[in-house]
Amino acid sequence: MSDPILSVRDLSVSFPSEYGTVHAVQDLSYEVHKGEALAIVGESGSGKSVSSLAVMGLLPRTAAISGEIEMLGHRMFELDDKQLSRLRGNTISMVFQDPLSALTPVYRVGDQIAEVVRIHHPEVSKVRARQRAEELLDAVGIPEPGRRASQYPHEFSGGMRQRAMIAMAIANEPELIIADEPTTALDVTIQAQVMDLLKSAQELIGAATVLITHDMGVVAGFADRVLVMKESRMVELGTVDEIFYSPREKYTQDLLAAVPRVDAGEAGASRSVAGSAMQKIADLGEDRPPREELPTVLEVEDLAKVFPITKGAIVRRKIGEQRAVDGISFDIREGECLALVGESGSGKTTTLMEIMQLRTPQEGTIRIGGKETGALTRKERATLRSDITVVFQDPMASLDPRMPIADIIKEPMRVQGYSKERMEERVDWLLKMVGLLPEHAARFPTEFSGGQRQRVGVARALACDPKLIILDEPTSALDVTVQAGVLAMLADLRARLGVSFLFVSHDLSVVRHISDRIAVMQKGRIVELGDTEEVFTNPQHPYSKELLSAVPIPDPEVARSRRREAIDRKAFEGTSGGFPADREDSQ
Amino acid sequence: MTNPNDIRGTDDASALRRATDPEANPVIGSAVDDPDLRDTEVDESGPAIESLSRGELLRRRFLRNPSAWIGMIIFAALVLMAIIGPMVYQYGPFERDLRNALTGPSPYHWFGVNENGLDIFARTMQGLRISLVIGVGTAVLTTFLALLVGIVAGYVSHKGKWGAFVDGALVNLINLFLVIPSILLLMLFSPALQQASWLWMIPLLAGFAWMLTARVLRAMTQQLVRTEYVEAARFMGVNPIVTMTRHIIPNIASWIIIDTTLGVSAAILGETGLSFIGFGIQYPQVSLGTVLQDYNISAPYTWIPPAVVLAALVISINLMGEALRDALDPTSGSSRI
Repeated sequence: MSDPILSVRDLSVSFPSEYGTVHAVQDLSYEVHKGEALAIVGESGSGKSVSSLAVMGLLPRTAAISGEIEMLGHRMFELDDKQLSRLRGNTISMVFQDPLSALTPVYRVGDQIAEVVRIHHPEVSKVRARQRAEELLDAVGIPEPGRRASQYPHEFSGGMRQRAMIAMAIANEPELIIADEPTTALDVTIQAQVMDLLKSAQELIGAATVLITHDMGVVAGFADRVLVMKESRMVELGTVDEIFYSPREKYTQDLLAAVPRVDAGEAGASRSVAGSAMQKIADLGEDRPPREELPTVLEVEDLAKVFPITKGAIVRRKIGEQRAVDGISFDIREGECLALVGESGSGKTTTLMEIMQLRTPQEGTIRIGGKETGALTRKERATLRSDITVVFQDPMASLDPRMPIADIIKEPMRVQGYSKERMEERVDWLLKMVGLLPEHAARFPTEFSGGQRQRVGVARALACDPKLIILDEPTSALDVTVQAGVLAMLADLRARLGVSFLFVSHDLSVVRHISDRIAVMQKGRIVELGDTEEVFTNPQHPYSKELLSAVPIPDPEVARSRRREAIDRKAFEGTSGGFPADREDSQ
Repeated sequence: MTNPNDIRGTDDASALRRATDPEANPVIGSAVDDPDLRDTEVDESGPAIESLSRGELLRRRFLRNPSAWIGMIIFAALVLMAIIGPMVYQYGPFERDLRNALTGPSPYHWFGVNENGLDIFARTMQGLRISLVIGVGTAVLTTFLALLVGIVAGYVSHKGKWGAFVDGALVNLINLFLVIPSILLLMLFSPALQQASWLWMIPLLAGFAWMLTARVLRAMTQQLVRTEYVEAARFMGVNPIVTMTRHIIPNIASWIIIDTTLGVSAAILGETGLSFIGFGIQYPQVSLGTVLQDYNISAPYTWIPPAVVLAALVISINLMGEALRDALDPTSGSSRI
């Protein structure tokens, strides 16, 4: 084996804080060889990002670092800022998580890419660098690169911004690319394209890559070797096949088991915790009467919401309209779970808000328990608030940080005028229901972890015995093992309490195990609505097919077979050829 | 089963649990109770991160700051002097001792006597009392007015056409008050209202001081209204006024406390300034401003004592306010005002 490009030995990073020292990374050692892709996988707080920032020399001054990082013979900790800058962007480059904040909003995209070229190759003329930027944009598959290069970042979509970031990262043909959660902020179809692009780019320039991610599915198709981290320490390091097919450590096995599988119906479900939990519950509910006989909880008919697009500050003229929701109809029966799936901008959230308003929608009708929401009196509407509740996406933002969780859970009951004793009793009961200890009722939300907070959110939604709970991406902010626990709890609650769910998600694999029926949304319309199994095994609409094929599958064999070539080799090599002028300077 | 009037208690829960038996189901059991798969436990044992409550943390951060101690000691001393001084001192603020006019400090007249034969210590202590009451009262009233306007404007601004209208009206009111030459109006109204009671100074000063605070509170409220927990409260059907008092005010309380504290010193400076030019506190009351008004530049003991007391008062309040801000909002950095 050749000499490693990057070797990290006994790296430890700690931060002093108000509460004592926080050990972010402890005794981490790994090597990356030329042309190899290493994935660092771990849940939030496992120290995976901090370790890569240490490699780039980007940690804040307060961090205490020990150990050694060697990069092509340079000892990173012995270099000063100037020497480090020479390496960054030229020999190491980084692709960040949030492409919007990683690009400077006030400069044109083309200029930003040209800047990267010119900083490290001052001999390149401005015009040439600009031309190079266009070639790079062309190579990463951005249409009309000439026009796009002179646009600003806000005119790019999320996927295109990430492509531009990748173009920037490969501009100087670096030896090492560090990609920190490059697709977390993107939709699943875009994620598939960006990951294909990153892989092709890596193979094209032969760079070593460190991919940092929490998503096992992304890893399977990308990495050669995988490093699993947990609570600031390395758990396991091995080739991708070893990790996925014969994991040695318990944590790795749990991590793999917790990933919901989109491809596995009956057979694979046994390996997935959430999946098999759902399975058990499905078995319990086998003797349910047929769907048609159950009472309808929520009925939405031809719902539409149109936002006008206006122009002009003083005299506002309408120049067009955005049909955020464009005539959708569905119904939910008692005890049923309908999943509303779609990518960002498909109108899922607008639909939810229209339902939760409990008012007459712009177009169409919404009926809850047979009653039209537009025709409600003020009092009826207030009572109906207890029948239909919502669990939000972000468990950090949806609980008031200044209230103990008992008060948070009591809030809806107080509105409905419950007596004091009954509220106390119910808080205990609800906390037990969602798998928390009643003794924790006096604690504040900040004292709980993300998954526990989401459980509090569910307890609040359950407080007044609702008929329908709207779940707005309840698990997308959680780590996979925590997600599995929350999903199992939700399925369990549904089976035991008979509540209906409207489960909104962008993640098809999450939805597969919990929902009875699936509605696929695209651009404000429901393009496909049917039983879960049917949609998964035999999708009718091309968009459903595309969505299904884009979901990353945590199985290296499958993932490799699905890869496509995504980079334009010719465009990258450029018209003049032999660019950058000399590669020797960096070696 | 999902009837909202159905009462269920912990007994029912355990009965239900037994019926569906999640423990027997290894999978749910493991997801909920298995220490490996469960979310990180809230640590019960160690001297852990969670053990420090917010109040305790604030207290420690505040008391760790030396400027908090200096401010508190000076402020407490001044308040004690203002309360006890006039009670034990033998001269009143308007007792004339013309024989000793324009004499320096002595065992009888601690700070000396001015050219009208009035005892400066007695007047300074009496003025300190009035200035303190007006300062604190004005700051509290200012905050109250700002809270009312700012939070209402911020809360309604997202609520449809009418909300936007009310918000616009309130913002225009704020702007109107900002462009009015307040000093002229204060000079106009103050002597007239002083005839009734010196306490009128409080609403008068507050009436021209709430605008900027209200604007900031409006912006903060707009931010909070968009958060999911306020949204959740709305979807639960919580009354808007309850939402404002229970969710919005506690979450901006730290800023309000800081602003009120620093507002006290601003109000004291405003009042003494007005009194100094003769439009503030009038006979039969004295404030630090009116004491300073009787200065005689060639006799330093006529103006140094009240000036020092005033400066000490304002500085001590600012020191406490800044220490409070550093404790409540450690990221703000002590370099910023």
